[in-house]
Amino acid sequence: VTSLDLYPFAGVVVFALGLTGLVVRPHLITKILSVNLMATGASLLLVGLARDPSGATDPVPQAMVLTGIVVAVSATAVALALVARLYRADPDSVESSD
Amino acid sequence: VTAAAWVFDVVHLATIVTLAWGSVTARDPFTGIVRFIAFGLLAALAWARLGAPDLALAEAAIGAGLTGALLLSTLGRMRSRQRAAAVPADGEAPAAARPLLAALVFALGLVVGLLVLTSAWSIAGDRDPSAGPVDAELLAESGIESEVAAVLLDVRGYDTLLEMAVLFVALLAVWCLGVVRFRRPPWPDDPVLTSLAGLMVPILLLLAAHLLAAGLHEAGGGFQAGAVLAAGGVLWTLADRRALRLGVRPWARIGLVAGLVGMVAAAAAPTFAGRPPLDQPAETASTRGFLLELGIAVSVGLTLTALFAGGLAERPLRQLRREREARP
Repeated sequence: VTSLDLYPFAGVVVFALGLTGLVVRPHLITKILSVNLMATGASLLLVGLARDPSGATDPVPQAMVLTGIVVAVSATAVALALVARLYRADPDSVESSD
Repeated sequence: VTAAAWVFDVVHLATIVTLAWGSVTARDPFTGIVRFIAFGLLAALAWARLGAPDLALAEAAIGAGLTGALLLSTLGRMRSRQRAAAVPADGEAPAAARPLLAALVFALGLVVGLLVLTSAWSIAGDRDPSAGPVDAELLAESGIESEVAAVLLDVRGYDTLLEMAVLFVALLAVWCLGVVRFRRPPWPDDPVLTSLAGLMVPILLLLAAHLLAAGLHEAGGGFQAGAVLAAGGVLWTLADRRALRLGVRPWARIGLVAGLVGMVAAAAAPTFAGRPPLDQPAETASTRGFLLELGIAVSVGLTLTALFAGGLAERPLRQLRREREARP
């Protein structure tokens, strides 16, 4: 057992915190942020478990998480565009904040 | 060394969990986002600690930088009343804190996570420990030195192909949802930002080129280079509103789909020679891999920059006038 074995556990805690934020917090921006926390927590779990006894990290989970990071930011951008649309008074323009 | 590693990892993970807690519980979403950005930077450090430098690069640029910038930019565009109130304009009153529900959901998340953890361990226990991390033959067949790049481009090329499609669809969705006014951008001009962008964008371009060139041998590659390009693109967008028009420029549109077209070509080409899709010979792997990574880097960089703009820029007045005149 090394201290690196703690990382998947931290991933579980971060995932649970993100899930809680998604369900409990009312602000939509906080909800989107929470989904990103869940994604990072799941990734920590996945990569944290992927070390073999020699200490090398399996490249397949690494590639999957790399894909996941890019997909997460795309999904976040779409979600935020939806939020911006929802909050906007004039549907044809992006208003500056007052 | 072991004691120092324990101290470092325990403090590091305690900080990560505290920042995650803080970004969820912050009363003000702005505070929450700032904590989330700090969380992302420490997550990048966690990837480095776990022996995944490719992830550390991508997380620092995308997870912390770009996601944080997107969140802050959307928050900045909201009216201050909406920003303070926690609900949409026509929604119900902000919900009071619900500690019991929060505790229940948190416990549920922990249980699910720990179930995944223990089941993964039991699967790992059944595995032959001498088998190595991933099928070494498959990795060798790909002809690419870097293991992560070999997985992305060859062993699991479908993932990369579909990921490029996801990026493209996300951009189309954001373009459908919003129009960005060119003459009245949601942020003011800032001389400090302008000179910072002038200094940083060339450095980021250089860094992206290095990551791209290094990608087939060591840490780096198309996605990391694209993430760094996008960081430069966001700075450029903030400093110079002309960047908002990226989406309407023909050269940029070619770049936006370069990665997707490249991956589709790489998937389709072997089928003409009677091989399964994406099954490319190892001899040409380094040239083909570099071209694919180049296309991916350009596409990821341009797409993420365009996503940050938050919508399709309206066409310039001149063009609108010309179109009106051309109409019968």
